[in-house]
Amino acid sequence: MKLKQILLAGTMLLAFAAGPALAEVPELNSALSPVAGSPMVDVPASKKEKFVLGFSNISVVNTWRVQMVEELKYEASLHPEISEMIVSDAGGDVNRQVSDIESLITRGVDAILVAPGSEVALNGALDKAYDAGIPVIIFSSNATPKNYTVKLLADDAQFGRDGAKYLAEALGGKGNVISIRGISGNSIDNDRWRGVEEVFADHPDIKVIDEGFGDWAYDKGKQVCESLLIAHPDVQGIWSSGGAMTQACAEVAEENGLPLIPMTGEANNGFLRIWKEKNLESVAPISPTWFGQQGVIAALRVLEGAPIAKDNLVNPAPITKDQIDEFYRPDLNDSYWVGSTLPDDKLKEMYGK
Amino acid sequence: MLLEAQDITKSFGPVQALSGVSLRLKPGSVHAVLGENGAGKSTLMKIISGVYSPTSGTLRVGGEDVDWYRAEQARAAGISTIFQEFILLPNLSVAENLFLGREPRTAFGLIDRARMREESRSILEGVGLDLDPEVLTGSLRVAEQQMVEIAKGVMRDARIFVFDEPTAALGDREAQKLFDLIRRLQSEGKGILYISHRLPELFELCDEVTVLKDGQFAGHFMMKDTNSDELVTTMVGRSLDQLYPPRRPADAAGEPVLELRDVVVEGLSGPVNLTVGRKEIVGLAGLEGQGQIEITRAIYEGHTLVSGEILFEGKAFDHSGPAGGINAGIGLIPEDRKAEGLFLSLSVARNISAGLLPGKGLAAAAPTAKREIAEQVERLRIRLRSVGQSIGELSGGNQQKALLARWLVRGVKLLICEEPTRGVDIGAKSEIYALLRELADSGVPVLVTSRELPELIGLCDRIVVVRDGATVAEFRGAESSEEKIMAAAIEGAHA
Amino acid sequence: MKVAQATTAVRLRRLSALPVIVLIVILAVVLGFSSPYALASQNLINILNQQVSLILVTVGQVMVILTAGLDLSVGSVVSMTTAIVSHDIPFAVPLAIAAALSVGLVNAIGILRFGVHPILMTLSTMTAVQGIALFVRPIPGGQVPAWMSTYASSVFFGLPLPVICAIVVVIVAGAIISRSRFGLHLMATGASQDSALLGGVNTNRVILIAYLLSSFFACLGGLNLAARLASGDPLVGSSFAIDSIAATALGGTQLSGGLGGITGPVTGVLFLALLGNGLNLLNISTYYQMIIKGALLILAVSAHRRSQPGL
Repeated sequence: MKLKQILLAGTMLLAFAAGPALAEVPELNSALSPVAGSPMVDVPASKKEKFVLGFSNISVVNTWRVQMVEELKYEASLHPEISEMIVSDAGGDVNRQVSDIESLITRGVDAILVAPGSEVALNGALDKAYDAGIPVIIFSSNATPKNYTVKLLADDAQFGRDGAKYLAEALGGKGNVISIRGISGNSIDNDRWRGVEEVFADHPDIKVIDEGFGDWAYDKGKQVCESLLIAHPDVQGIWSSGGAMTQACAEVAEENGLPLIPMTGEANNGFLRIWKEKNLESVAPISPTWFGQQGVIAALRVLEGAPIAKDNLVNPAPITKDQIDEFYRPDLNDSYWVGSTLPDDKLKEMYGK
Repeated sequence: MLLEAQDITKSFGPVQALSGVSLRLKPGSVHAVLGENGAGKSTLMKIISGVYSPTSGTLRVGGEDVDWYRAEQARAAGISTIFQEFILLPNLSVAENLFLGREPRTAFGLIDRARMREESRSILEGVGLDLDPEVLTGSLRVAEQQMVEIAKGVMRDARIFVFDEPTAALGDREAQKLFDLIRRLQSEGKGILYISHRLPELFELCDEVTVLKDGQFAGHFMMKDTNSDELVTTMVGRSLDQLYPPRRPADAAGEPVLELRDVVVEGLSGPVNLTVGRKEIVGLAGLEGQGQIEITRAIYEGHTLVSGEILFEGKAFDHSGPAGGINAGIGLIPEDRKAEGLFLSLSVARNISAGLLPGKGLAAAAPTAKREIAEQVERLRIRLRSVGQSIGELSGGNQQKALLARWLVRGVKLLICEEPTRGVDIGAKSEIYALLRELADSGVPVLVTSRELPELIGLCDRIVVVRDGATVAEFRGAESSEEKIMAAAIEGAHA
Repeated sequence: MKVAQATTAVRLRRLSALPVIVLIVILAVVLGFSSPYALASQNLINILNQQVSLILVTVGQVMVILTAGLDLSVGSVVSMTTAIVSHDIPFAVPLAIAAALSVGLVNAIGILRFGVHPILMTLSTMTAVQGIALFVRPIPGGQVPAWMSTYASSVFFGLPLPVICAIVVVIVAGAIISRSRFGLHLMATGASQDSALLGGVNTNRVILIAYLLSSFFACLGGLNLAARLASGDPLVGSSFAIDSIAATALGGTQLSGGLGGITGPVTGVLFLALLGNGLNLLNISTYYQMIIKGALLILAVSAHRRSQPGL
């Protein structure tokens, strides 16, 4: 209900804001940079003064996605020129996401933002939108339609690379490693793992001797870690696809009297807390939740005719041990994803202890 | 000869169910097959109807040897079996049940409902049933369902009809319709095999009888040359007049244990006035569905009363469901043993100890009562391999005894028996009668309902006649007769 | 007159769909008032098109549920089908159909020959077939034959071709269930296998065909989904088993078997879809949507319990 109030407030603000296009067109986050050789978007500015944006989200299955959607809604509420921000959620079902996009097309929104659930499944629907003259902004994960307006992507392989590089360094380029992966068959997990393999290919003395799938969950991760660590008590490092699973591994190691070997984490508040408390040897790759915010900004830039590159990639540097205090928020709970653009009161409302 | 079974033997593993049984069925004759439960009648019938194939022996239909192993094949050879268990499907309409497996079809291959309805109507009329064929079978009364079952068997174009205890669930009126039907088949030259425990109807209906005992041929008689005593003796090795326990003197009833005063049960017109004394067996008689069951259930479960009161040992008692009756000390052996009484998949021991279930206690250990169960099994002479055996494997009589044991283990002060010997063979019948008498003599009175008037007359000290939910007459067992009871049941005249 | 008040069997079966039909009408009215867009024909067609696969899967599920069984493996069959046909190999589609039918066959053999409970049997095949799907296509992607994409994007008389196909399938399946001999035998088998057998129904064959049909319809659902998404995804079907069972129950088909039809379950699918779409249009958060769905499911299913004499 709070969200609705914020949206309402946004609409009311809009009523008072006189005169067109007075607001500055916002800039993209500096951590996003155009991919080398990317063309600039070449779409004429919209003649409208007020825009209806549609966002098709694949799911809010975890807090990362919840926070990402909140950042999108919050950003939309800041701009009086956005008269309505339609958010649809496909509940994890790509089939439904196709319909959601079709539905946004028939409603005639001015731009479609999409956080795709599949690289290929939505292509038909996205092509249809583009052909209907609606700017298509793809962000957070990839989709590959014939045409699109803007892409804002993180390289999930970079997440894997960051962790693997750290492990290679921490182990001195030699040692046995186990990996705790996400959901079997999931594209994000596959991409992250691809990054790991790339890095380890350069370090032939680092061997991945076993792996398990912890579904990115604390409880499943704990089971997987337990069986792997008990089977291989002498491993030197752990690569993990998610912070909750790393936390589980650290606890398993402590409970079984094993040393806290280097293990990779993730940039969320819960992991930072454990990292700090247990004084782990670790690194935390970032997958920014402000994609939602950037999606709205990209849509506005396209509609207002401001310059923006077609393909953009974000590569934030991972958080290292000496940076924990910069990012860690002891006043918020474990679920908070660090580096948010949300205002403090909104964060306290979402993640207050 | 329509059907000849020669030296049929059937064994299930080590168990010899039939050995060297022979039977010959002539066209136009009604041939009874008589025997206690477990004597092998059902096995023989199932061999004849193709459900089982014999271990050895020959089966000849119309002079030709047959060797079949599926009910379909027997049916194709002209044998129609009306099974004892209801095989009607409650979720289908009467017409759908009648035509199941050979539905008439339209040119498109879909079911021809109109034709099915019309043909069903005439088939139902043929057995004297005035029913809408589209009606849901599950909503029919038990007796109507049995008649539909019979209609289904009879409508087949067959030469041989096998009836397995068809009257067990029928009232007298429906039974008469059935007999008319069988006589009509007989006059058309069909052969009829007829299994029943009810001796009187065998004399009314059948020409000849084959008696089985312990899986073996025990005798063959022409009905006109034999009598009940001879048949019972052949069947159980004991004569008929020993079936019921000796009567008690009229003044031995003792103080009242259960009193119903001007009770009107919801849905019935009433009133019911009924007393059961400390050492009495009291019977409720009446035509089918006159409220006997509603009255016993009102006592046991506490159905809502419109007026009147039910006193147990002089006091009203908690009446909020079966647990109320049980806690007051009342046990019930229900009419439909399989559906309402037994847990068919559980062991005998669990079924007996189920009487100990009512009561609270998350922390209390579940009652096992091993010693008591063993005592009752011995006392009631329940025949079983072990108390851990599934109760579904026991014969009807032993199942009934197990239900009796359930209440004896709990220690009830009043026992209600609905149809105490339904589906029970004669040997077990007399044992159950003796047990009920013994119970009453020891101060646990018994209230009985039964469709079989001779049973009520033979067993009960007093018989109370119910008509339209009201008690209308009362007889002493020794002074009653079927005629007197029927007269009261139909006309409601006070004797 | 006794006959006049008794329920007829056909009427009871029709009645079984009534609660969900009432619900969908109420829902349509509510949505129509609250969002001008909800009942726009284009939106309704979108919803229909989205639900084609689930409708196909549900049709098969109904057949199995009528026999008092349950098929949890349908979702994995959907996934496996999309995984197979997204590979550029000859005879991909016939291969997918053969693979699906063999799942149905294995289910039926386990249940009939080895007496495994349907839930356990199909739970096992669900897991195994999920494994096969992941093996065949570990990562979503691939390409489906061109004719499948054409099928998915064709529109006739304003209706997408998949919707037209679904309508035809539902009509045919409806006729099979309510008017054919096989349909009656499904009901008979579901109410009591023993009685149906004695009544002359070859119950083993009925159950075998039911499971084969369930897998076959799940395969059709998978083909449709692969065409629509133009790709394969080894996890895309994971919600289909639960959704098809929920829709079947919502549509008044008894999970205990022997009572129901096709109208109710298909209406159930559409109801759930319309509900999700409507709540989205009303900007109600996903969390509330799930609560509302669960509550309505309980409400609708409990409304069925009373109209059942003799069961």
